[in-house]
Order: sequence, then structure tokens, then C-alpha cells
Amino acid sequence: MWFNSIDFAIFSIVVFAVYWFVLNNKLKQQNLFLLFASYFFYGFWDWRFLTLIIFSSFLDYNVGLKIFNSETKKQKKSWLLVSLLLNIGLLGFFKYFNFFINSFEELMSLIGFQANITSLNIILPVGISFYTFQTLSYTIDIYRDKIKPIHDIIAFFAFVSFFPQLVAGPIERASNLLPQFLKRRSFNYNSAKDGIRLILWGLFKKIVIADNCALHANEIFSTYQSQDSITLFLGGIYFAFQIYGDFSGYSDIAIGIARLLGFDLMKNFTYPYFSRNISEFWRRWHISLSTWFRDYVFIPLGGSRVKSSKYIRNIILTFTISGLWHGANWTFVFWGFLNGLYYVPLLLTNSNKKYTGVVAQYSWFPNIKEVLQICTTFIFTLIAWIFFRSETIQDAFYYLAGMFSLSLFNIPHIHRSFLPFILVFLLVEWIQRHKDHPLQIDKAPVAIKFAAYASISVLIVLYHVQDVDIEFIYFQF
Amino acid sequence: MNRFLVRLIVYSFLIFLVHMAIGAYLKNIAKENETEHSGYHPRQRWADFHELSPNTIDLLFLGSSHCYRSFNPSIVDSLTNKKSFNLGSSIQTPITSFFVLKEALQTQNPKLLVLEIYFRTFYDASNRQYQSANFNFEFMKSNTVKVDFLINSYGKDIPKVLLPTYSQKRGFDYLIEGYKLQNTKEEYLNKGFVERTDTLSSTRHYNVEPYKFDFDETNKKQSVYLEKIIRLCKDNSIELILVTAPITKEMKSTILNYEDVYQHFNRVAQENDLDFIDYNKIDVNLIDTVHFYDFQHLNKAGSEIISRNLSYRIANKKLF
Repeated sequence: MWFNSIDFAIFSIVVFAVYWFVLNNKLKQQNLFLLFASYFFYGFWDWRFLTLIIFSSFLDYNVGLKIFNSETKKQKKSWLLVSLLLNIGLLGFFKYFNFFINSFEELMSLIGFQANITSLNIILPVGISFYTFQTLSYTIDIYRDKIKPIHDIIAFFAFVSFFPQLVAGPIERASNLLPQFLKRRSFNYNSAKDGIRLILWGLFKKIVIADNCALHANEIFSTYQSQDSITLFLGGIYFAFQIYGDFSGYSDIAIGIARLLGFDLMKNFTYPYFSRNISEFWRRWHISLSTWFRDYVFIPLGGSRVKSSKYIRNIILTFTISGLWHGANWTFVFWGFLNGLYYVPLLLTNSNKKYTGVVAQYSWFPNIKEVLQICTTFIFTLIAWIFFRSETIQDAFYYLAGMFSLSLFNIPHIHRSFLPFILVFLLVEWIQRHKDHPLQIDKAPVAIKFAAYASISVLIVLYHVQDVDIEFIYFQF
Repeated sequence: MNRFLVRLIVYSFLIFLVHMAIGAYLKNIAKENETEHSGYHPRQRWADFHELSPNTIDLLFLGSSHCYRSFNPSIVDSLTNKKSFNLGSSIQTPITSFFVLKEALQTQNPKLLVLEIYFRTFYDASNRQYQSANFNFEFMKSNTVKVDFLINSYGKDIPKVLLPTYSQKRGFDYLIEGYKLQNTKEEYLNKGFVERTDTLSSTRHYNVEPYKFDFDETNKKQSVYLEKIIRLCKDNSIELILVTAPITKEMKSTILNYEDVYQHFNRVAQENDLDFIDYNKIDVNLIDTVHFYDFQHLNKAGSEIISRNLSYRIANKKLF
């Protein structure tokens, strides 16, 4: 059930109606209903996936209690290890088994051995990367005494399977989302209004921006050997906006739906393409994942409270592992590694903690320095996106080699029709960069608000890419 | 909550009005661009059909693009001395054929229906039924048939049809890109028939992996509607012939169990006491690179052969 499908719209309306009109003020029944609705949503993809998520929920609910009730640190650690091994084991098996087998075989063949290990026909359960991290954060935070385990199994299961964010995040922390399942939720007009706006904006980003960029990006990447540099560069731009529109659009829809149900999910994107350096980019892109890796990988490795060489090691390792999280391909690993490498100069010049506020906060336009910073950061991320998008690392290098030649400065003759849209989109985001999202236009006159909503809805319909189902990219993870 | 719902409903309604206005504008754009000889067959085909005087058609053709490119009513008429019309349309599925027939029966009373059967229309590919219906729905005149068609054909795509901007998106494409003549090599002649004069190049090859057709994987609703067409014809005393138009030998060779496909429809025909002609089982001297313009559609030369052959068969059966 894609978020931009009629099935999902009908499903959401039914859930909303039952949730507020039938079960209003009945906390336990609402949680139970959300649980069944979420399982129905998830089972729609493939009912077999339900066994895994139920197992994962059951495991971590019980392990959480065991960790809390253990008397010694050693016992707590043992139970935590159970959670880690089983969750990561399952994730590793379903996501990486064939990848590791194939990589091992390639490595053996490089040194002259033929290893014929049977690979399995494994279906990757949708959202496993997301909900596994979500449940792991629960057990780890209990181990760290940051939270106490809950005794409401229904609330916990509903937290793990909460359908708006189940298949592609945001990866919620138990400390943020779980308490919301334990207290009565009342309908909030402003929250619901903002939720609808977020859904509308999210659909716009996915259907108009991401899907149309995908058409161009797919064509350019599939024929990159015969394209000139400027077209390859455009391909990179289109993919950069495809993945941004796709992923942030999904997050907006997820957050919007959650708001309609009285939940507050964490922000996942805050205008990342206006970042002035790579560390700011990673404070604005896929925030739920980058903070998860910061708290559960980077900090346990020692974080920044170690000598420089280890600090750099920790950064690169964290980014590389996060690259691997994205997919079972060396291209993702290299993409993560590259982002880690980008960090190193910032660490060495102590610039990684700069730029925590809104760019050009007190002026309409950025200054020259900010423009250069934004453009440079964008180009570096674009180069990294080439690896993310390419089928192999070799393809990525060939693509980049093709991209950097004199024809980079030509005027593009093809694949330029959608560029004005991207520019207008960026302009809208720039004007509204102080807000949570561009449709926070409460102070605008009613006519302006109406015109904005009507225009966006018309654009969504007219620019809908017909006859083609373009997946949400992050559903693959 | 009430305030939220009221505002949501009011805004939604007003936005829908905007969509209606834009949809009406786009509909006009489409009409202005899809003129005679513009190459957009569905509009021209239905316009020609609705101009017919009532109860003047003796023979009706229904089916996919294989139908409207294979069976030339002008040739059939001259050889059978009857009046025919070809209401085939792109990817016309049995569901669509049923409702097209119902629409046709509002103003015509044909004695014979030639239903072109193409097995791939029984499959549920992405958007197939929606597209199939779209080539006909907006041009139908009977509201009763249209409502029935909407409910039984579009299914969950009904909102797309009811949203004016979505259903008239074609007009927006013309506005942005300008109307592009679908294909300069083909021409809509008359009576629903489309003719193409080029031929399949001998250097082109059908690069599709061989496969087995499995009826268990088809949409059962399509088979149900095939039965409905058969019953509708019986109820209206319309003689029905099932026909499968020819495809190239190269394309046919990729269907590993073509015999099963043939037997399936042959059984349907036999169970209902119908004639079934499969032009892929009959040798009518068709040559891939002479009589086809692509791997599955006849060109002018090919359609002449098939139209003549079918006409002789119809005349010999003395069905009229």
C-alpha cells in the first residue's frame, strides 16, 4: 500500500474515522485498534512479514523487562546481547546474506579459489531496517537506564508497528514515541490542520518532484556511457532531488498522518540542501537515522572524546556502517565511507559544529560566502549520490569520469525541461526555511492559503507520472 | 474536531471546483487538438459511430488494437454487402468490450458480432483495465451504461475518473508539449479502422524471453465478462464469432504453450456453440516482414488479406 495510492487514502480515512469517532478517549482500545490497523497495513505488503515483526516486538518487550529486572550489570549485558544478536542477526540474514555470500565468492575468486556457496531466494521484509533499529533503541536505552520498560504489551507492539512510520521511518526513539501510547490522546485542531498540510506537501514532493526527477535520472543513469558531461551532471541533480523529494516526502506524509492521530513524530529533514558544510547536511538529512548512529554506534566507539586519529576512525566507521544499512551493495558502503571522508577536514579544522541555525537567518538572500558554501556542499553530496544510485562502484567512477570534462560547461539540450520546477521548489523552500515545512502559512490571508493548497493539488494531479509505479526509494531498505 | 472537519470539507469542495474548472478547460484543449486526421483514434471512432443512423449496422467488430488494425469494415462491407463498424480500441479487455457493446446496442442492432480475442488482455498488468476503459468511457453517451461501466470497470480507479483534472490530463500534455500527431505512418480511415503502410524490418527481433501462458494467473473477472458478452449476444439474438488476429511467427514462438491458449478459447467457443477462428493456426500466407508493421499488428497489406478471408467465411456461413 503505497502512501500515494487510493488504497492508502481509503485506509487512512477509515482508521481516522474509527479512531476518533468510535474509540475517542478510550486509550487501550485506540492502541489495540492502531495495532491491528498497522498489522493490516503491513500484511498488505506480504502477510508473511508479520511473523517477523511480531517476533521482534515480542523479543524486545521481554528482553526490556529482563534487562530492567536483572540485578547485575553482567546479566543486563547478557540480555542486551540477546536483543542485539537476534535483531541484528535477523536483519543481517534477510538483508545481507546473499550480499556476503557473493562478496565472499568474489574475494575467493580474486585469490584463485572457486567457492560455490548456494545463495538463498530471500525476500527482504519491508521496513525491517527501520523497525529493527526502533526496537533496538528501546532495549539499549533501558540498558543505559535512560528509560524504564513498559508493562503494556499492546502499547509496545503498537509502538513498534505504528503504520505511518513503520516502513520508512522516521526511526522513533522509545523515549519520544512510547509515552505517547501511554497517555490519552485528544484531538488537537492545530496539530491536525498541520498534519493535513504536511501530507499535501509530502505528496507534492513525492509525486511532482521525486517521480518526475526519477524519469530523467533513470534515463540518464541507464545510458550514462553515451551522455555528455552536462547531462551527467543533470542526472546527478535529478537524482539528488528524486531521493530528497521521495524520502522527505514520505517522512512528511508519515508525520502528517501521525499528527492526525494525535501523535508527534520527530522531524526527519530540515532543508538539507541549504547546508553550508557536510556536518550541517547530516544534521538536516535523515535526522532520525543519523542521530541513531550517533547515539548507538559513534558514541559507544568513543565518539569525539578520544584522540584525533580515533575520532576520525569513529566518524568514518559510523558513516560506513550507515552506508551498509542502506543496502546490500558495496556502492552504499562506499557512499557512507565517502561521507565519512568528507567529515575529516571539518574535524581537523574544528568546523563540524558550526552552522546550527537557519542559513541567512536575518536576510532574504544568502551572502556570497553562503552561496559558495551551499553550492560546494551540494556538489559534494551530489558526487556521493552518484555512488548511491549506481549499480556498481565501477559504474559510479565511470559516471563521474564522464561528468568531469569540458562539456560540463555546455548548455544542456536535453533533460532540462524539469529544471525550472526544481528551481521554483527550491525557492519555495528557501522562502519558508524558517518554518518546519513550507505550508506553515497560518498568517497568510485565506485567499493565499486556498490558492496554495489548490495549486499544489492541481500540480499533484497534472504532474502525476502515469502508468508507472515509481517506488519510494527507502522502501527498499 | 467539528471545526476541523467542516473546514476540511469546505476547502476540499472548493478545491474540487477548481479542479472542475481546470478539467473543463483541458477537455476543450483535448477536443481542439484531437480533430479529424489528428491520429487520436478513440475520439474519431466514437464520433463516427454516433453519427450513424440508428439500426444501420449489421456487423460489429470489438477487440483490441489487433481488431481495429486487422478488420477493415470497408472491405468486409464490399464483400458481404452489409454494413459494419469497428469499435475496437487499444488494449480493449473483455470488460471494456462488454460495455462498449452495451453502448453500441443503445443505438444499433447488429446481427453479428466479431469479438477479437487477445489472451494478454486477460492479464492484470499495471493500469491495464484503467487504460482500456479510458479509450472509450468519455466518448460514450448513455449515462446508464457509463455508470455501470464506471462501477464495474474502474474499481478503485473511480476517483481518478471523477477528478476532472486527472481524467483530462491529456489536454494538459497537449498544452505543455503541443499536440503531436501520434504517428505519421498511420491513418484513421473510416468506420473505426486504422491503417498503417510500413512494414516490419527484417533486422528487428522480438527480444522477449519465451514464456508460458498460465490462465490461473489471469484476472478471472475478464473471463466472467467474456461469458457476459456471450450471454448478451444470445439475449439480443446476435450471432457471435470469436476471432484471434494474427501475430508474427517470431512473437508466437515466444509463447511456449500457444496450443494451450488456443485450446482454452476453443473450449469456450465449443461450450457456447460459437465459431472460433484463430488466424495463428490458419495459414493465410502472411509474411512477417511484408504484412506486419510490428510484431503483433497487421499493416495495410496484411489487413486486406485477413479482412477478405474473414468476409468469405462470414459470407459462407450465411449468418445474415
